[in-house]
Amino acid sequence: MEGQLQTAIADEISRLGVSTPALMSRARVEKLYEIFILTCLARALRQLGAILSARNSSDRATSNLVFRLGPGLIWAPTSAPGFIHVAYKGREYEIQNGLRVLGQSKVLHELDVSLIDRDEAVRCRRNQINPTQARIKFLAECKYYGDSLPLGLGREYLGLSKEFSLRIKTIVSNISSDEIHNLVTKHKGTENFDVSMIRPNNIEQFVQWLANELRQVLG
Amino acid sequence: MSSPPPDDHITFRPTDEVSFFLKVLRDSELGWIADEVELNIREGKTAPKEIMEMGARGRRRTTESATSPYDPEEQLRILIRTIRHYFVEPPKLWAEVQLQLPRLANSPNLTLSVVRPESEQPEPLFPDNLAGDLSTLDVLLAQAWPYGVELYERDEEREVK
Repeated sequence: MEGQLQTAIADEISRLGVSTPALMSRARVEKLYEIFILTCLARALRQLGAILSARNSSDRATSNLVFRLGPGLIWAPTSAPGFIHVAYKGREYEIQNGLRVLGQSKVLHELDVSLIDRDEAVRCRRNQINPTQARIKFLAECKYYGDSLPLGLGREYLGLSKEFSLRIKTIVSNISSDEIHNLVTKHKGTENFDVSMIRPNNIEQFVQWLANELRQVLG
Repeated sequence: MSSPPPDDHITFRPTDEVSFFLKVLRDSELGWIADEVELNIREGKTAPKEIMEMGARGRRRTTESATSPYDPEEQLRILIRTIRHYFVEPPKLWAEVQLQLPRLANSPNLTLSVVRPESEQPEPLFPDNLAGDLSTLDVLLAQAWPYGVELYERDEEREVK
C-alpha cells in the first residue's frame, strides 16, 4: 500500500475511533448485529402474516423500544429489554433479545435472539421465574467478527444447542467459517453465515429460510 | 488507553504494514479490534496438506492438516476487511433496523435505543455527521483492497478462474 493511502486510512481510523461510541467495545457492535437479526426474524413473521407490536420490559405498548447491553431476566423490568409482541394464527409469541432461559440441565443461558410462547413469558413475569427451553420456538446465536470466527464459538454453539431441543436454532454471523460449518453440520446443526449488509441476497435468503421454518413450526 | 498486544507465544508475526495499523488502532482506544486482527494473523491458517510417506508397502500419499503463516497480501486482506466490518458496516445495520422495525411493528414513530443494564439512559452510538466520513473511509479501503476495487464491493478475494 502506498504511503499516502496508508496515512489517509490511518487518519480516518483515528478520527472515527474517537467520535464513534459504538466502536468502544465488541459488546456494542455485537448488540447492533443481534438487533439486526431480530429484525430479520420480525420480517419473516410479517411475511407469514403475523401482526407485530413493540412492548416495553413491563409488557406495555411503547413508542421507544429499548435494547440492553447485557443479558436480562424476563421478570425484572430494569434488566429486561423491550420486545416485539407477535400475533399469528390465533396464538401469541414474543421476539426477545438477550433473554436468559433455562436449558435442559436447568442452567440459565443467554439467548441472543429468541421467539417464546407468550403465555410462558406472561407466566414468568407474573411469578418472577425464568422461562424454560421447552417454550422457546426459535433461537439464534449471533456472532459479528472482522475476518474470521474463532473455532471456540462453534463449540459453544454446539453446547448451547444440546441444551435446547427445539427445531429452529441457528448460529448466524456476518462472516463465514469452514471449520465451524463442518463442526455444526456434522452434529446436525444449522448455520447461516455471511448474513450482512454487504451481501443483500444472503439477508433475503435468511429471511426466507426463517419464514419457511416458522411456517412449519408455528402451524 | 491502548491494550497490550496479545500473548507472543503463537507462531506467526504481522508485517510492518499491518503493525503500523495495529498501533493506530491501539492509539485510538480500539485495542479490541487490533487484538482481533493480531490474534488472527498470529494463529496462521490451517489447511489440508498432502504428504508422501514411506510405508511397509512403499510410498503412499496421505492428506494431513498443516498450519502456515498468512502472506503479506492475506494479512492486508484481514486488516482491511476487519476495519470495514467494524467501521463501515455497523452504521448500515443500525440504519436498516431503524428503517424496518417501525414499519414491521406498525408504529411509524417508534424509536429504538440501546441502554446499559439497569439504566434507562440511551447510549450514543454514532455521531450525526458520520455518513460522509464513512464514505471517505470506504473509498480508501477499496483502494487498499489487495484484490481490486470491484472485488472489494463484493467482499471477495481473487476471481476463481
